[in-house]
Amino acid sequence: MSHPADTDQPDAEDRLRVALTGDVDIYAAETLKAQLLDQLLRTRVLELDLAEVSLIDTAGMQILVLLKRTAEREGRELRLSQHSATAAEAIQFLGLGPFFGDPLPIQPQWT
Amino acid sequence: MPHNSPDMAAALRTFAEESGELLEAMASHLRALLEGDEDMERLHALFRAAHTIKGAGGMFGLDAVVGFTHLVENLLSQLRDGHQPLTPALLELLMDCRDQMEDLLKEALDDGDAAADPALAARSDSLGARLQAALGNTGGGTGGGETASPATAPPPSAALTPATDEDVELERVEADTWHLSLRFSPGVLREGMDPISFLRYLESVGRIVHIATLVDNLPDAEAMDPLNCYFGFEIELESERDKDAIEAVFDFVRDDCQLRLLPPHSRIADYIALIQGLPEGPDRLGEILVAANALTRQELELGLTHQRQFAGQAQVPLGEILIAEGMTHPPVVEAALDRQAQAKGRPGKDKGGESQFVRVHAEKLDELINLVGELVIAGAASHLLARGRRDRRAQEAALTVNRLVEQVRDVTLKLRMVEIGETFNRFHRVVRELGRDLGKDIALDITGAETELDKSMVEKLGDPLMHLVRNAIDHGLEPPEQRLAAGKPERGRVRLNAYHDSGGIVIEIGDDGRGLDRERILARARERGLIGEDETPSDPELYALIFEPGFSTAQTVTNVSGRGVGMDVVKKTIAALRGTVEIDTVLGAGTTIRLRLPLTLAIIEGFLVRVENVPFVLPLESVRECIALSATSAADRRQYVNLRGEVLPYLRLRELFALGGTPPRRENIVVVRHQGNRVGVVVDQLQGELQTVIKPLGRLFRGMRGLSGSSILGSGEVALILDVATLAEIATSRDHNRGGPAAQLQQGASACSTQ
Repeated sequence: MSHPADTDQPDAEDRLRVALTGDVDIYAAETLKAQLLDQLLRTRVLELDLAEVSLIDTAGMQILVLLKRTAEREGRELRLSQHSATAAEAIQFLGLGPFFGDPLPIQPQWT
Repeated sequence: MPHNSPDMAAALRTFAEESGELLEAMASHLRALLEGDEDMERLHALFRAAHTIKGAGGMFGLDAVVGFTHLVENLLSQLRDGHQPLTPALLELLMDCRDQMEDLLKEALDDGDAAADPALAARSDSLGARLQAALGNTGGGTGGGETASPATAPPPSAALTPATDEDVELERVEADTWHLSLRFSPGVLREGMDPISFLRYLESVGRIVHIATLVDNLPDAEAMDPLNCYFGFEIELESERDKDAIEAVFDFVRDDCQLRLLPPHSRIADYIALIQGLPEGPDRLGEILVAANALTRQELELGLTHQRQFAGQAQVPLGEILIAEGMTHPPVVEAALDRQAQAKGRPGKDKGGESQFVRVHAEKLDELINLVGELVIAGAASHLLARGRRDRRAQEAALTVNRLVEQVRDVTLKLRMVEIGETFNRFHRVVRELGRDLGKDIALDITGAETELDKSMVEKLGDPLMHLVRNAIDHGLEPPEQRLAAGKPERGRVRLNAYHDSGGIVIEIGDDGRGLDRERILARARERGLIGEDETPSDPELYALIFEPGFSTAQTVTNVSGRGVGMDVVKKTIAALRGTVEIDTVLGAGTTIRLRLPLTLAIIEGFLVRVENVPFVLPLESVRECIALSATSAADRRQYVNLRGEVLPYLRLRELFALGGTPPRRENIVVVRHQGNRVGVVVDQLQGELQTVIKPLGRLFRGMRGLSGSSILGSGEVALILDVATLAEIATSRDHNRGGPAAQLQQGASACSTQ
């Protein structure tokens, strides 16, 4: 279950940074949709920190896509950042990298 | 990665099993190639196996496995594409790499971290360096960017994201991918299905070259229900499997998804038809297909123009246009019809053999077999009752039920039967590595690999077979120079064979080595006091001594074998499985060790007898005949009778187990046969055949000679199952003392009755 931090206010440049943690999945989808949409509409730029995301399933990915599209429609911006390996991989696997347009991290190397 | 959740653990188990099967398949392909089979399909299969292991390993974060396998895959890819020739040296390298993959996987799955073992990591590095060297041999080509050292080798992202540029680049040349068009019903997520996981699973049948996720159907924020599925997927898949196998990936969501599948090299028209049939509209989908390299832009334009011309005419069904134009391949039409047939309930005979299996947890099978066992007992009870009443119809009904129960039992037992080949094949590696360590050139011949036996038996056979094979290689086969001196081919042969024989399975482990030296064993046995100085044991008796603990005639103890432990373990394990060990040997020509085992441990066909009204069960397969013990023979207390001119030694169960009482006027002898010896077992009453479920003996009875198990009869009585091997031994040995088992049984019985 993922709980976006809700206490932060947008900074001086009207950017709000929210960290997602744990599984971004169907169990979290309804909460995430409500909270993140709300946060998106309070700011110019919503930046989602995906560093602590352990899983994204179809429902979770749909929420991210919804946010991206809503942001474009409303003249706001959604940025995904600090992708965890799982998050980056899920976005690449589905061929959604160009859709989100965020730089994806280089995958960790094996040693 | 959350390795600790139950789902993850289950997925890991499945991964372990599947990767094990893939590694086995790789081994057999490599062997075939080494033996001169030049089927290119084998290289493809090897590549696919390595790719699947890498991909799945990546999902579980097994980085050491992924990194190493990536290099193996690169080499296989070069070989497959003909960038370099397949040499025996490369095959040897690949064989070693496969072994390393096996070790890495095992380590990673056992400990969760394959990097933990420094020796293993070192071997990965050295093999990695050899792989890099081999990859560099192409002098450019696709290997250009991959000749880095292992530490800076391409990251595992290739496994995690199959749709890398490099892969797409390759595909553009080959351009023979399947196109899958997937639309899920909105409710699929609520059903607990995650479409992404099916896409991952798709990698088990091929390599995903490209996925385009269609987000067009996602409604506005207000209308969007987070629990509905809105995504659609257009996928390019490189696969050698057939349509059924690819469709089978989506079996679980068959009712919740629309799958359109175009085979490789499908006509443009088929793609156009596909585009027309989907909700997103031709322009959008056309762009996606072009982006995915499924179609070129020219092909798309051509197809759409053509379609428009026809659209202006009368409404002719699209299919007819295509056929009239001669545009569809007959196989495509067939495939479509085939799919329709499947939609109307899958027909029984399926051609894709691979999709015919259901993975069932072994515990569930055990539970089923246990229940069937109880059913056999309950059936026997109702049969007995029906026989007691003089009601013909009840008897007939009971008979029918019994027959059906028997069939159910047979079918159920067959469910657990597995081919022994998989166990045998593991020894290829053992033979290769041992041969290399000992400087012997050895070929392993496997026959009867398709012989089936109970899975629980197979698991227990691994260790004894390992001991026997190691023994054959180390002691059986001579060093090359001795072989040449003896006029034998330099290359030694080890043979594994299996076949069914009279209700059991026989497994032979043979070698063409020096054979057992009778004199040396005899000398060693006398030295150890196992045999008296003046005794001359028969061959079987003497050879059986090599299974005694600590008995070794090896002059040198190697780290492989020769310490005299191992063979006694073999004997104990086989005995615990109700099996026997025989040895055939010819000095100078080789040794064959023959294991005879029952097919299953669960159920026995028995012959019920009684002594003092105590029921005993003899295994039916050992019962030859029943004769009456004549009063005169019984009276003179000899321990043998004359059976058609032959001496038949016998023993009385009454005395053996100290049952007391007085024998009835007429006693019976059941003639049982064990390893060619016939002995008689004297009992009071013969009660006929029965099938019964074997229950283990309680702790009090365990280790008692003459009994191998117990069983519950239909009447509720507990019957003891007799161990024929021990009975035969007791009856034939001169000094069978009457105190041994009898005293134990009495103790056991009294202890039992106090419970």
